[in-house]
Amino acid sequence: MRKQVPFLIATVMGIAMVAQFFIPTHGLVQMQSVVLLYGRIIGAFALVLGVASLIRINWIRAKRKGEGWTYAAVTIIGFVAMFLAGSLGGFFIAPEEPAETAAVASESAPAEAAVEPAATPPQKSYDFGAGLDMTKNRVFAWMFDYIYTPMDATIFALLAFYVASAAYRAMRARDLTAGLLLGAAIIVMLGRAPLTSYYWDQLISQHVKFIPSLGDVTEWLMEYPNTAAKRGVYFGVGLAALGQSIRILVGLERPYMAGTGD
Amino acid sequence: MRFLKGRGAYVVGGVVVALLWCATAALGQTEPPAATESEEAAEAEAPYPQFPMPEDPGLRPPQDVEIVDFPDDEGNCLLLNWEPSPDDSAPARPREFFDLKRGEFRFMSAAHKQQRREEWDAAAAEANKRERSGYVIRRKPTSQAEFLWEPNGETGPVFSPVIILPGFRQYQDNDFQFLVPIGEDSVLRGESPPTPEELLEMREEQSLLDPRLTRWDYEIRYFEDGRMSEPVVMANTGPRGNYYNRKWTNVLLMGLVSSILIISFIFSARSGRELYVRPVAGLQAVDDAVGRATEMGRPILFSAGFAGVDNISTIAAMVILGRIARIAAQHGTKIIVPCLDPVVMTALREVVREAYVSVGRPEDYEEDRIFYLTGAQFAYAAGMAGIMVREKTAANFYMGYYYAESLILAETGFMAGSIQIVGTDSYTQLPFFIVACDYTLMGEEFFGASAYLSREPKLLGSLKGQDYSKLLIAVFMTAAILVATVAGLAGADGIAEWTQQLFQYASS
Repeated sequence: MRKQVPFLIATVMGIAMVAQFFIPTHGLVQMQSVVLLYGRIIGAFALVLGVASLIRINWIRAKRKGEGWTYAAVTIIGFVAMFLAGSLGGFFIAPEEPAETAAVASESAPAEAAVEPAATPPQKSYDFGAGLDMTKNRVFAWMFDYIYTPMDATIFALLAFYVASAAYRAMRARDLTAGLLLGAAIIVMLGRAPLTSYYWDQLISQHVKFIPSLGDVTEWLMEYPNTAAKRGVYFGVGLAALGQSIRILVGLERPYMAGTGD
Repeated sequence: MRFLKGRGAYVVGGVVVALLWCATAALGQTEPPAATESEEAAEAEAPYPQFPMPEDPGLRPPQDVEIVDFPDDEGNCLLLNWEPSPDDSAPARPREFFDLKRGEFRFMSAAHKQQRREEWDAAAAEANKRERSGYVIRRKPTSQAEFLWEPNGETGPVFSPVIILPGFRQYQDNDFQFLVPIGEDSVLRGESPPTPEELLEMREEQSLLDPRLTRWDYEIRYFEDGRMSEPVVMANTGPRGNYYNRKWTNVLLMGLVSSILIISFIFSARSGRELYVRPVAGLQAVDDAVGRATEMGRPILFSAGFAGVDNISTIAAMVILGRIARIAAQHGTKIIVPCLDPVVMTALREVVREAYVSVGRPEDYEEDRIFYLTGAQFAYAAGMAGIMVREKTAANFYMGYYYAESLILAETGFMAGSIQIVGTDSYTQLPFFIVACDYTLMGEEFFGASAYLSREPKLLGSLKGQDYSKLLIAVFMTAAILVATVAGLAGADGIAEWTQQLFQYASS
């Protein structure tokens, strides 16, 4: 049973999720939505395990003061600070004042039918939902906008330098194919850059008819040879994913059985 | 001029290039063309049509109006088809969504579509500008007494009238799927949840919003110069779901053929026939990489990608990790697996634990080696880079789906002196991995790694099935390209278009 039940669940659900593409009934479409929702719920619970793992590992490392313990300490401090700012931020948000309800008296309405103002609900001292609302929780928003976002952008910006160093290493014309790659890369880089593309057109292609615009050559390279190679990879990936899925559906590979001795 | 030698030249050159760049950008800015006086006058003359307009019995309504359920869908869309009013001077547009006579979706080439659309739009806009004409469509639940132009808050939801340009002959009403039950909508807006009495009332209104529980009436009129024709009413209709999506027939057929091929090769492999699989350098290097880490006494780093556990590439990465962890457990090599997704973390922990148990070394398994790092993309990349530098990993395995952070990981690993083996199906990152890593498993090689490493005949049989499916597709596509090319040159556009449609499917 320990082996058959997970296999049956995996196979039946796998076939159902595939069938949903070809059988567009409301029931199957709803089933897909429900399954995805369940996945998100499971992910939320798994996040607790992940965070516990994160805190535990970094706490031990910081406590033992091993190599790199300061990074572990910063991790814990950052986690605690953001957590407190998000969860307790509601205490620092002023509750919204209830809108005053004015008595409406129209010309045709009799005087004795005046509407009494509605009773105002009691003011809340803490707003759980507003804690994670970035427009209201200014502490959380400040930490996100001025600490996390700049750091994220910094790491992203490093990509430019990594691209340059990788290109410097890779663009060597050792043989014919490497030379073709180098030539195509040079054309595309020059064609994409506005400076070189502009001056090429102004100084060369506008005066010499048989020399095309650099932008046109770049677009041709990207639209035809590049797309052809990309689609070849698509086919391979698609069929390989199909093969992997079939191996899982028929039970040849059972990654979901990890830990059960199978 | 000594500063121009050495580094100074680079600095000066860089400044000159930057200045030229900015100048080019400034030169490239152009003012948008100002509207001509006639266009401005035309806009001022012709205000947007206001409804309701007075009915004019002399204005002829649209003809042959019919309502058709949109085919191959969940049951949340209707098609209104009509023939233009005889008073409509704009050229009639073909029905682009679905051709009822041919029973199929019309696929034109993108350039052809764009050209025809521009011509029709120009003619329709000209007719519209000159006469302010078109069609107006209204909809109401059958239980509602009258069609309304504006909501009155008493008879339930009212749908705004839809105005169609002249010349159009079809309208696709899929407004059903965007309707949200009022109770959920109020919760989404952060308001207080409804009381039981309000819920009961909402449930009655919700039945009006659910296309499967409601019948609908439609009305279409032709309007021109501030007058509208008498309505054509189609009553008591509604969308219905379909049990089969014909648009995906070609996908289904190809999927079935491929699946049959793969399964048949799996069964034939059980006969014990030796199956040849071409050598893949990256997979052959896995053992060498783990051995290198063992000899150097440094750990292995494994990353399962940035996708969740529902992604097939993550599952493939899990299978590969099981093989690598088994080898590492046999050699006593430490393995570090930082995870982006906590669900993936729990799955990978089980995979590695089983690997250690299978080689008889459960005591060597350390759960803390597979840990949740962070859920943010570049924070994960930064964390991985830090681990590579601090732990001085000897072998890095990147298996799964990656995004922009791929080059950060690969370059940092290169600078740290690690041997790097990548397996990914993310085609956008393949160039970066190929450049920066020692071995790259591209797409199908990555998914076939588990079969290749295990050498089980049944798994290898599935690889053969994949290859024959690819051969079949290649033959089929070559034949179709030849047929379409010859048909196009010979002027047989119908055959060329039919051939093109074999490879297309509608996404909706």
